[in-house]
Amino acid sequence: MSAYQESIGDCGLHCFGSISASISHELKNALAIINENAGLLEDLSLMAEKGRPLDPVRLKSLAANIAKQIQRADGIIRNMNRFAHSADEPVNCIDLGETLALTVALSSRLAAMKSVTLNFIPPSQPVCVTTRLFYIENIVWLCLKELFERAGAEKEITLALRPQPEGAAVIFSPVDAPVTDASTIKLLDYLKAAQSTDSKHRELIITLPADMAAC
Amino acid sequence: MTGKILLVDDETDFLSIMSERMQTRGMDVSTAASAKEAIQMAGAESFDAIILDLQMPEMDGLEALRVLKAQKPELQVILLTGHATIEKGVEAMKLGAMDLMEKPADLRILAEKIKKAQAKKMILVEKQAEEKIKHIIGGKGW
Repeated sequence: MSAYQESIGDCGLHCFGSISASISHELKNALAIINENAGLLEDLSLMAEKGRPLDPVRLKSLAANIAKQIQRADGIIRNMNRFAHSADEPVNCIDLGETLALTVALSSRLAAMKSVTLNFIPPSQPVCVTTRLFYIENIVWLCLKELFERAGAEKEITLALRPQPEGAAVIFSPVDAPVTDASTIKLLDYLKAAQSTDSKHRELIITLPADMAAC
Repeated sequence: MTGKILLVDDETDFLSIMSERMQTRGMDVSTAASAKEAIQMAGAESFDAIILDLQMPEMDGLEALRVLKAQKPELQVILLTGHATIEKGVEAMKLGAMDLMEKPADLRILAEKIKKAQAKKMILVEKQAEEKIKHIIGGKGW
């Protein structure tokens, strides 16, 4: 493996690690809320043993709180599972819309930490490219990470997808300058992808070739 | 036990349930959903302890801790984190945190730490008052 390929690998590992850590933090938050709701049920039971009547409405709301957090945690784990499996997916024709939706979900905590609202406009039809699923997650995550740091007063980033004759364009807006992070540039180069900006529409455009199977 | 506590976390579901549990244990609990709000409240009121989440949007717990301790050095701050590492613990202690706990936290253990925080704060406040008196007496040359 060349030093170049190694650095692409390192970049991927960093992305994988950061997203995994973010997932674990979110799960811990859901568990903490479940823990406190369970604790309050225990407190109320102890008070009931001492004669204080139980309020069914209160019990129902605690049960609903627990159910809500379990659903939240389940959603997080479902995304984690899809993300984890993407690392062992071979080169394939992938649905970019689904992949971007997953990457947006995985980046939502990072967006929240930077107080940025992250939106995704799904395409009206499937847009596909041939590549390793993880590469798309990696490149989009790297771009988002840099854009969150740079987010201006609007504190909002919208992701969209446009089919192109020779592949697809991933659009980030409102963005006024290209990404400059060295790892991102290297990965774009590795995938034979290109970036450009449209100052009129305030867009950053990542153009992906239709076939990246050789990468 | 009565103690004046400020609970700080961006997860409002966690804030409301945790504060309810602490109130049933006789604590006087105020809540803040951001570090900035917490800093404002800590500046305006006196708290025995601040329970502060480490990871929050805009300003994280360590930065908030730095500002809070600069504002009121006697403040006792207990940090809550999803993943407690030795490095985080050391950094938190260097910045003046009283303790670092991992979520989900055992409220019995947290309540014990809050009791210790109250006692520690009382000692510090008494010491500050003593020094003030010494300074006044010394200045007057009695």
